[in-house]
Amino acid sequence: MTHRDESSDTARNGHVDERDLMAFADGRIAADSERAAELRAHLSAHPDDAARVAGWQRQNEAIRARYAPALAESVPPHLQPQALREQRARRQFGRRRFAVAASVATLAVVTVLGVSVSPDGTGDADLDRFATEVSQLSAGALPAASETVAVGGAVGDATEAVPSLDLAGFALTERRTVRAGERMATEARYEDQRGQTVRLFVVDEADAGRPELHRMQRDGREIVYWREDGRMFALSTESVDSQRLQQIATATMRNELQRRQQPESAVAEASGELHDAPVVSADAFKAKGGNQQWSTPVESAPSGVVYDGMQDESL
Amino acid sequence: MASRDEFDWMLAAEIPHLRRYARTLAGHPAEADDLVQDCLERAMRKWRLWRGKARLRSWLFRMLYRQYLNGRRDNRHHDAAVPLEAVAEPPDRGNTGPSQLEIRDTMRGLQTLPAAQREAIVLMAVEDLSYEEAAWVLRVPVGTLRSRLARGREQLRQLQEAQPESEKSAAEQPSLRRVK
Repeated sequence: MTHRDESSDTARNGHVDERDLMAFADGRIAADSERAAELRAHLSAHPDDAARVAGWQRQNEAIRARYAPALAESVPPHLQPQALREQRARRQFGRRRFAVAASVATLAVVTVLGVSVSPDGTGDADLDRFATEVSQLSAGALPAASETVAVGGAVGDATEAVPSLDLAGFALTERRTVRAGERMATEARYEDQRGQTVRLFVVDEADAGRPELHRMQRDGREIVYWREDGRMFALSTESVDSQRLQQIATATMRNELQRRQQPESAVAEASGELHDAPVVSADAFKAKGGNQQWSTPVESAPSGVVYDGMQDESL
Repeated sequence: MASRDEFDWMLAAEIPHLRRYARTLAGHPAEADDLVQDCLERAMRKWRLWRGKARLRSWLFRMLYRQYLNGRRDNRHHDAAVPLEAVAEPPDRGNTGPSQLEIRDTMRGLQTLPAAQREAIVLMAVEDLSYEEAAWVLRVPVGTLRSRLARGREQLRQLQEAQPESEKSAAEQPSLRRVK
């Protein structure tokens, strides 16, 4: 028996009360204990108490017999821990997809309605100049620096990490360093399942500024650009419409915001980091079904409530 | 502290007991399994909070009982009485255990008791818990548990003793019908 023996609790100078009788009826007093012998002697001398104890024992036996078959049944597969964990993972995946889609859509609406997406001119001369310089870079421009990364090649320099656009449906296919006017910028190229491409230019060590989106059109090329956290970003495309480009930009801003707000440990645990996008070939991306590289959910740490045996109220 | 895999392994061993306990509470086997599933999912989310200070079974029972209470609160029309159909009829074990009649009478008697008394009696009967553990599972002081047990059992015993002998024998023997 794993339960506590009640013998010591019920032994009170030979006195027997209902608590003793119940413990005896429930089998909570070791049968070979001195207390059990005292109680047996008491029951022999008190037929009324003996009848009560016998009645309680019969009740217990009847209840046990009633529910005994349930214990012998085999456990349905869907109640096995492994199955439940898999089911939970699937649910989290679905929730995450919905949450990301909803937040991107919300941000897009907010951007359209509230954030200034001002055409041609922000009042920020440096940022406008950066966007203009980007607009003059043709898609086939030669890189100014010899760091071209071929499609499918490995990214070696982590300091030049570029945002992931996975959540917007684009995979990073190439990255290189280019000269935009007087400054060096990192150019990253992304492609979606339909073969549409966008280019993102990032300049580090820029002045801080409000994270507002701005828009520019040059020679049939759409550019959305902004400042954020000491960096300047410009998204350029010839194949994606203006509205979608805004959505991609808001998703990128959101990713960057999340990256800054996440504790380092959580960022490190997430397998599909939001900011440091791996380079994959466009073919491989399509073969994987496109936008399917979701971050593994980081299991939330236990709440501040600490389970402490019998005192626990956290359940 | 057990790893997650170890916890899952220990959890799997407790599922039959959880299912049995859930059937003493829920109105139907399917409802009982829903309760068990909710409890298991919660336990797997909170597994780090179980640190082996209490028996895993007690910890799980406490969790399951709380979920049962929450569900009952949400569905006030739910008949919380112990359902006779919730488990299969036990096999007749001849002279070694209670008869089908005794079992049926006991279960009928239980249904007349207040839920708190019934839950205490059934938990102590089916599971090998100490009074302290059972009180913790049911979230009451141990004195309250003992009091519920004493009052409920005595009422049940009196009910069974008060049952007329004629009713007992009628229930024991199927009625005969004259066939010409």
